[in-house]
Amino acid sequence: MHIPDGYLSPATCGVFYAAMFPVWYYASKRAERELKLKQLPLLALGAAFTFVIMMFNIPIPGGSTGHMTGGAVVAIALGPWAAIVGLSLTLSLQAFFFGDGGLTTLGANCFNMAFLMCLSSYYIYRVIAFGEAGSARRLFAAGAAAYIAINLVALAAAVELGVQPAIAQGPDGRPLYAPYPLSVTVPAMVWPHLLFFGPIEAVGTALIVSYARRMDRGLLHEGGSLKPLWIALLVLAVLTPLGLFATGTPWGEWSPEELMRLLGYIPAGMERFGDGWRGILPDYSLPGASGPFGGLIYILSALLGSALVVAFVYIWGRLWKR
Amino acid sequence: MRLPDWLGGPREDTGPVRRLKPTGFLEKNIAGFSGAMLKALATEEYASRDGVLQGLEPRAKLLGFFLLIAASAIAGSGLFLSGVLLFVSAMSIKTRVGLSPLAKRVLPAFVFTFAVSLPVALSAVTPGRELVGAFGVAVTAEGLRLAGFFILRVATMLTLASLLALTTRQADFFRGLGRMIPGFFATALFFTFRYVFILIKSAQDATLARKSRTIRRAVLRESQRWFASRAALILKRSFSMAEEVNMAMISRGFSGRIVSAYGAAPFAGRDYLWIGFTSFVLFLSLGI
Repeated sequence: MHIPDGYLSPATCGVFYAAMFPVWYYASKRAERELKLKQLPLLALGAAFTFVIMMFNIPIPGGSTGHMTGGAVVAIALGPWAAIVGLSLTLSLQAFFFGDGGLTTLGANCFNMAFLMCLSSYYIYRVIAFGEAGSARRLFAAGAAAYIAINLVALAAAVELGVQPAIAQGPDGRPLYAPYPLSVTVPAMVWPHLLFFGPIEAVGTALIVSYARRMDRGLLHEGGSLKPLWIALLVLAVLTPLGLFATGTPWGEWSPEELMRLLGYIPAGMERFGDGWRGILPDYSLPGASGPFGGLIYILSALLGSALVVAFVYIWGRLWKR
Repeated sequence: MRLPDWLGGPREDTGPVRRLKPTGFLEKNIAGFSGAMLKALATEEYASRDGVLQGLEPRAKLLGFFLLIAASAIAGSGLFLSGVLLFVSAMSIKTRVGLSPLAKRVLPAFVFTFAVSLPVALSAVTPGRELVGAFGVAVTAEGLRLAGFFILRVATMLTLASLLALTTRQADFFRGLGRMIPGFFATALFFTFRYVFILIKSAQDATLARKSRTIRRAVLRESQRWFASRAALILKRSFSMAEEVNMAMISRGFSGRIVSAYGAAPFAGRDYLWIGFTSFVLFLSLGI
């Protein structure tokens, strides 16, 4: 998961350093505000804890052992912003003193394992364990958060490595850095994480959070605001109408006529079942709606869908209070 | 700082004839924790030796190495990278670190990169002029060149980063870094470095205590529970220690502002020479 030196082009490394500078600044300011004076020792000890957790061998079925990154544990314990600073410190220390991860790729590694891992795991945990969640739901929330977050990190690393042959080539067209394209890096990174490292991270995180809660509830950062998450979701919802400007058919969502044109035939199964259930609002629109009215129906469909999801999550949360 | 002989490695007269490979998860943990401690202590010993790079001002040394690493990242020529690798290898001898400790540090990432790069040399990944083949799989000249270049770049950058770590005392490193990045981060990094060893010691003690009370291998569930309970305990210990350190800092007048007691030493002639040379290498890399 730690990308070594030489795998990413200087331009990619520069982009990730540039992306991480404001994150480090904002995260350190947020941590300062939340932790007050004790931020320095707490951040350093949080970072040291992550370092040690990464070194621990966890027993897994089959008599073997595996490692976890511990990003989700630290995010749930310290809050996302302090965890970003803590994880960045750990990754810097590993790169400088222990040769784990590169110096040029430190920005990219911090983006993946500190920023992406901590933010996603913390908010997934908080969303699943919202309200008066019992220990079973908290255990599930911690495991799910760690599993999803580690897979997001693996995907991000795979994309960063996989785009290198396309963006950094020598005069003769040969790749200058990581040599494999996305078609190789994505499955190579994602499958092991979905099947092996993801479950290790999930089980490890769930167990540690469960023990920490039983030991001392004050160890977990559970009172933080979910405002940043709501703001991010609202921004995404507001950006939904941008889809109206997209032209052509999304890849894989072809109509039978388009398939006929592309392939020269319509697969039998698709011809048979393709028109089975077209939904309440087929193609996010109403029959005959076009132009600005069609656009309005498209936005209303998005709002209706979001409202249904929120209602479902609310009902599920009320039912599963254990 | 000189390490005592008994800490340097197994002695033939008292140690086992062959090194035993740790098998269980407890043994692996103990080996891992001890390995990390030994690595840090050994680094400090090399950095204390009287060599060419050890005598440089920390800021100049850090800056120079960063320039060399940047040059290796930019360069598109195998010849240039080979030259830098040769220079670093020669410097490891001049700094009295030696090639063996450098190779030991670089080896894990090098082996990983080598394994990852092997398929690149095959015709299925990189089509081209076939050199040797069997059963429908062939090694191509283009693939071999591509894999070789990638391995060379990674090896050069790894070697540079390793020589920097091996020739810089920890205190000097943090002092130098403190002049280049915001003081808060440099101090937090220094704190982290100190606490890592305290927590590793806690984890090692817990693992040794467990092993000394174990007469048969525990079942998976029990082992996982033990791991989780120790990790949670270390987390709790971290929080308690942070509180204690915080109180100690406040009682000594800490108000949130980092103040360094050390002034920056002026650069000497050799520092300017080092920065000039590494800048020259960086500019050279831009045109190659």
